[in-house]
Formats: sequence, structure tokens, C-alpha cells
Amino acid sequence: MERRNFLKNLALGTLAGSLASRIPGAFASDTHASEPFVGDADLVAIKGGEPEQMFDKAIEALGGLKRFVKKGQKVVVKPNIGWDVPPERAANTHPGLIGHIVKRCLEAGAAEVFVFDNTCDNWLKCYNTSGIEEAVKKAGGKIVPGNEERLYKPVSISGRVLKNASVHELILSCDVFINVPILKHHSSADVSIAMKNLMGIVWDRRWWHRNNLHQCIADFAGFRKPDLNVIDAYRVMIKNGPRGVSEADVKIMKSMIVSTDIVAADAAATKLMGNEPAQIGHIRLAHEMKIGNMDLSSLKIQRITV
Amino acid sequence: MKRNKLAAWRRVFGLIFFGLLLLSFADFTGFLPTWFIRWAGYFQFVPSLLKFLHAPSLLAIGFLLILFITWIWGRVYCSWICPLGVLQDIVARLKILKKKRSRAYGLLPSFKILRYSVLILVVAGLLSGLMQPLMYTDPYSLFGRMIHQLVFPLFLFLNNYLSGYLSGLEIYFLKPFPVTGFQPASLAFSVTLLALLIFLSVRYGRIYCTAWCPVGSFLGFVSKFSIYKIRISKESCTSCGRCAKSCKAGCIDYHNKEVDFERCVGCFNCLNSCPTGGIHFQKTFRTHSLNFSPERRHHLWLLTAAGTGLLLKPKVIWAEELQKALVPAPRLNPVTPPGSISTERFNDICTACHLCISACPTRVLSPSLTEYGWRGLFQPMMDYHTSFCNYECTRCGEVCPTGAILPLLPEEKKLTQLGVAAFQKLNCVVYTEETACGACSEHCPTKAVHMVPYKEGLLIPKVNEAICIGCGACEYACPTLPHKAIYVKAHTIHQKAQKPEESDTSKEEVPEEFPF
Repeated sequence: MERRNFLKNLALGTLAGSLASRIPGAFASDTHASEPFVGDADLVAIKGGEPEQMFDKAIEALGGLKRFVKKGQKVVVKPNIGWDVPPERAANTHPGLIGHIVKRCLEAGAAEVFVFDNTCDNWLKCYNTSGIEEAVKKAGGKIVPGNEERLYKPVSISGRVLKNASVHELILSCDVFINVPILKHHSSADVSIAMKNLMGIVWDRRWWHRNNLHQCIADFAGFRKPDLNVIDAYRVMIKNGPRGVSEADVKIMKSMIVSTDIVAADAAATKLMGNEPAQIGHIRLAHEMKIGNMDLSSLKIQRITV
Repeated sequence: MKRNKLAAWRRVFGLIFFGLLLLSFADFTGFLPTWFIRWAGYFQFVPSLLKFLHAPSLLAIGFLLILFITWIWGRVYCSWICPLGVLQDIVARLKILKKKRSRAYGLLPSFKILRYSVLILVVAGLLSGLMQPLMYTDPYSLFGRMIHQLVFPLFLFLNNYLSGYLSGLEIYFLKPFPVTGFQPASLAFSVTLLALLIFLSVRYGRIYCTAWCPVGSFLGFVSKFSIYKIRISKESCTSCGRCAKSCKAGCIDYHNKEVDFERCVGCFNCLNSCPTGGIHFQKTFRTHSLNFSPERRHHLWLLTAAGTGLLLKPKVIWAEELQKALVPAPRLNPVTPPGSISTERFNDICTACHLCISACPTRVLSPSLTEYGWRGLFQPMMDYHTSFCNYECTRCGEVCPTGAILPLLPEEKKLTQLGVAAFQKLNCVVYTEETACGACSEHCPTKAVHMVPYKEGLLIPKVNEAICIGCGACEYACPTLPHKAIYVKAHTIHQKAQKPEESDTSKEEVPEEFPF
């Protein structure tokens, strides 16, 4: 893990150097950055555009996707596909965004891009109704089952409560892990964002529910931190989460949070929903455990309005 | 001598009907559209008859066509359409088993008393609302159960094994499907029955059909009056006995040159067995016009009409009972599938053919054991510890061939209350551990199970029964052990739930400034 981070930082440094002169010019033409461009942002918050467009701009601000995806690498894109509801209900990540990220990863040279979720409703129905299966196939990615125990391999977790988990084999074998949750209200975990989305790469979630859910979510967030967290806040379920009852639960916020820091990303998204990060158990615990930083004032944030 | 093609056509038809039903019962993927499954079973006598009695429509007159066909050609149903009949024919043709047959078929005793006793028992059961005799004799249901219990899992395991092997190579072409909803007792029943059928059909031919099967007996009775019959020509017959040796039904008495057409299953093998061309399938009115009596025909019609009227009667009684809406629930009932209307009605119509269990995409439908009492042995129930009912899905009602589960529109289904969730606080994680949980509320499609403030920073589930539809998502999701903190209390008569607060508009509210 350390070598990976070191390499990442190295790559980041060189890329930032080479791109710093180029990007601001490119931005000036079509965006109104509310703050001067800094180039080494910890977190990018963007609003006002379509999901695909916002992703491209946010990634550009972080130094381009090539910073995260190298030629020949194996990539996993993990959306939330938990429920058998259409995209308008905002219980699953925006299908267009997932298809777009898959496409961009392949363009960046990824050998393969896999997409899956351990769904709550019947998985075939979820994959289909969410529109994500179709979007991934169209983009050239591989949509993979997440509903079989044999796909999950036991690992040990150095958490306060969580010591063991079974994790999807692709998460263990991939080079790049891109976490693409949707921001929504949640009846158990208060909010469901990036850390909560990782419950879709493990098998026995009931154990978590029985044994201090917030602590388990925080414990697991430190196991395999996603290389990138892209929070879809285009449509946001503000009540009746995580499944929702009707479109009245949804507020169209046309926003997105992108960060390599899963805790910071969750903190920013929580604020977007009007909640305080410190009030959310798993965010506060993950911050305490130094898995990431929820103190947004100490972070370099790039704010973009399309 | 010109070969008669009827036996060849019989094989074609038989294999088509057999194949269609085999596919319907063995499809573990949910890939087959429900119209396909519905039409595959359209001509099956018992389900069609039951559907006509309990949910009459043009979609349920397959059995009338069968009666008509039987009136013309005899009980050809048994060899051309009935999947259990075709299964026996296939088994008897298998080379390995054929060797075990020590002798050719031959004349069998008619078992008239046995056969009619079974038929009377079945009809009496139907009239008094007891499905048991029919459930364990109806060839369609026996076949369905057998395929669901034996072939379905075989395909499923094969698929999952291959899919697992391929996923090891990172090939995710084959999708794995959940292995749940099997019932050892139902499996044992099917295995025993299959073994018995193999033995009987290889050794004696279609003795199940001629000595036991109530559908066969009934159609056999009708075929007494059929226009076409198998006849041995007294002039050309040399009493060589070859026809009798080829007769699976054992109904040819070549010594007396007579055919007990009531038992003939219409396989037509005999037609090509005769070296002198002395056995025919011919119109009987012309050659035996003395048998025809208009008066008797009239009486027969009266009898049929009266019989139909009798069969219809229980339905009327049931409708009155339902209106009284009496809910006698002295014990915990299993939850019945959406569209079954009431436990009693369901128990009265379902033949436990397992088609819905095969078709259910979430595998929540499972064969029961004693949950309904012995009366409903193997009839399906909702098993919320295995899975839960998908909110949008109406597949079981769409495929049910008997009308035991009536088809519902998605809008109706979403308001059909099978039972209501009951919260058992003493088992709940929030109460026992004082940590957050709301798995039940997460899964609830109507938010009937919602979270209300409990202690400092904690929320606890609460049920709004009015909008609960009893889908079991909460019970399935509840993580507590060994008992659930929330479960669905079944209604013995399904109720109508209120609509959850709904609207189809989302507000657009792009933040002016980021709140950080």
C-alpha cells in the first residue's frame, strides 16, 4: 500500500508540474472557477452541469484521469446499484456517469474495466432497471455479478470492531479502484455516500448491522481506500433513503464531489445535504482513526461552477 | 403396406408439449417470458379446468378443447400432450432400461374399480374443497414438481459451477443464480415417484395412466363415445398378437379381437404392428351405427351440464365466505403469494405443480411442508428467511396455470397486503446493542417501516401498517439472530394497503454556493 501511495504521489508531482501551465487556460474558456485554480486540490466540488461533463472537468482539475489510470491496468468502478428502481428515483448511481467513467478509463489505457455491486434487491433486476448494465456494456466495460458468496474472499481488517470481512475478488486483484456512490439519505447510516458504498464490495453485511454499524463502516474504509471517489450528487435522495418511495424524495442538485480522500469526500457531500459531518457516526469515527480528513477548512478545495 | 404416420406425428406433438413444459419448469434464469410459460401449459387438462372454474376466461378453455378432441379421437391427450405420459414413453424407449424389460407389453387387467375409485375420490375432493387427492395424482402437477425438484437444480448447479469456474478466469459471461427454495420432502416425493414411474413404464407400459391417473380415467370415459376408435377387423386378423405386444396401455385383447378403447392412450403404435393391416383407427358411427342413440346423447349432455354446475358450486360458496371477511387465525399462517386472495382459496385451487416456484426471480416462493397443515403439503409459500418479494414483480400470478394465484397488474400488486410487518423491539439491535441499525427500513419499498427517534442520536423502526404490503423485505434484511426483530404476520385473507405518499416530481435546487 505504501509503495502504491509513493508511486501515486510521484506521478502526481510530475503530472502536476507538467499540467499546471496547461490546464488553467483550458478552464478559462468554459468554466467560472469561483476560486483561482490551484492544481493540487484535495477535493473538487463542481455544480451546474450534466454528470458526464462535471466528471470531465473535475478530473481535469485533479490532473487528468491518466494520473489514476495507467496503460494496461485493471480498473474496478463501483457504483451503487442497490435497488430495483429507475435512475429518476436516485437510489442508484447515475447510469450515464458510470458509462462515461468506464469509457474514460478505457481511453486512458485501462486493459479492462469491471463494474459490480452486491445489491439489496434482486441483482439482475437492479442491474437492468438502474440502466447501469446497459451503460457499462455500451461503454465497453464488463458488468460482473456480485451476488455469489464464492466471488468474495476472506481478508483480515485492522478495525476497532471489524476484524474480518469477505471482499469481492476483483477489489483484491484490481490496480485501480474508483468508488462512484450516489449521495442519499439512509435509514441506518444517516447518509449513504462513499464509505457506505463500500458495503457493496463485502459479503456479510448483516454482521455489520449487528455489531455497531457506524464503527464497521469506518473500520472497513481503511482496508482498501479507493484511488478515487466520485460522488454523484446530480439527483439527491433527501428522505426515505436508501431505497426511496417516489420521485418526491429526490432533489435535483446537479452537483458532484471528487476526491482521493474518502472521508473528506463524505464530509463535503454531507454538508451538501445540509448535515454536519461530525454528526454522522462513521464519518466522525473515520476521521478519528485518521483514515481521512473531515475537516474541510484544512483542505484545498477546488470549487467549480459550470 | 402404407405405413400409418399417426405414431410419428404423436412423437412430434408429444415432444413439443413435453419440451415446452420442461423449459418452463426448468428455467432458473427468469429468461422465459410469462406468455410463453402460460401458453406452454394452455392445453394441460387439470390446470386449465381449475382456472376455468376459478377464474373463467377464454384463456382457460384449453380443457374444453381437450374434451372436444377426446370426443373425436379418444384420449390422444395422454400420448400427444400430457408431459407425464410423454416422459414415460421417453423413459421406456431408453436403451439402457429397455434391456431390463423381460417381455413385450401385453393385455393388462382393466383396473376399472381402482381407476374409477381414484377419479371419484378426486372429484369428491374437488367438490368438498380438498385438493389432496388431485395434487398427488394430476399428471401435470406431478411432472412439474419432478422437473422443478430434479431438472431445475441440475441445470442451476451446472450453470453455477461453470459460472464459478469461468469467474476464476475473470470471464463473467455466465451469471450465477441463487440456490434456495428447495424442500427435501418434496424432492424425496419426486424421486420416489420418478423411480416408480420408470419401473412401471419399463415393465408394464402406461399402467399409471390406465389404472390410476384421474385425468386418463375421465378422458377414457369420454372416449367411450368418441367418433374415431381403434378397431380390429375380424376378417383380416390372424390373432398373431403383435398389436397387443406393441400396446403400452395393454388394452388390446387379440384373442377376442377387441380393444378396450377407454384405456387406449392414443399412441397408434399398433396400427403399424399388424402384418395383415387388420387394425384400424376409424370412424365408428358408420360401421357401428347401431351404437348411436340420440336419446343417450341428450342424456349425456344433461349429465355433463349438471356435472359442470356441481363443480362450479364451491366457487359460489367461497365468494360468500370471502365477503364475510372472517379472519380465523388461531395459529401462525404462512404468507401466500400476491394474487392468491386468501389462504383458504389458495389451498383449494393450488395443485402444487411448482411452476411459480420455478418462475419466481427472487426465489421467495418455496414448497411448504406442514405450514399449511398436511392439507397443503408442498403448496408454495413465501419464505422470508430465504428472500423477499420484489416490489415490481407479478410473475407468479402470470404463470400460475390453475388460477390459484391470479395475475395482478403491478399497480394492484403494490397495494395487495399479504400481511403486515410486526416489530419485536426486544430483539432489535437498536434496543439490545444501542447502536444504529435500520436494515428493515432500508429495504422497505413503501417506507411502512420507518425510523423514529429513540435515544440520544439513535433511531428505531416503527411500522405504519396501513401502507405495509407484507413483502417481507424487512424480515429478510433484519440481521438479528436467532430470531428476527421484525416479521410479517400473514393475513388469511389479503387486504388492500393504502398508497404510500407519492408524487412524480423532483424539485430542482442547485446550490447557489457550496456550503463548505
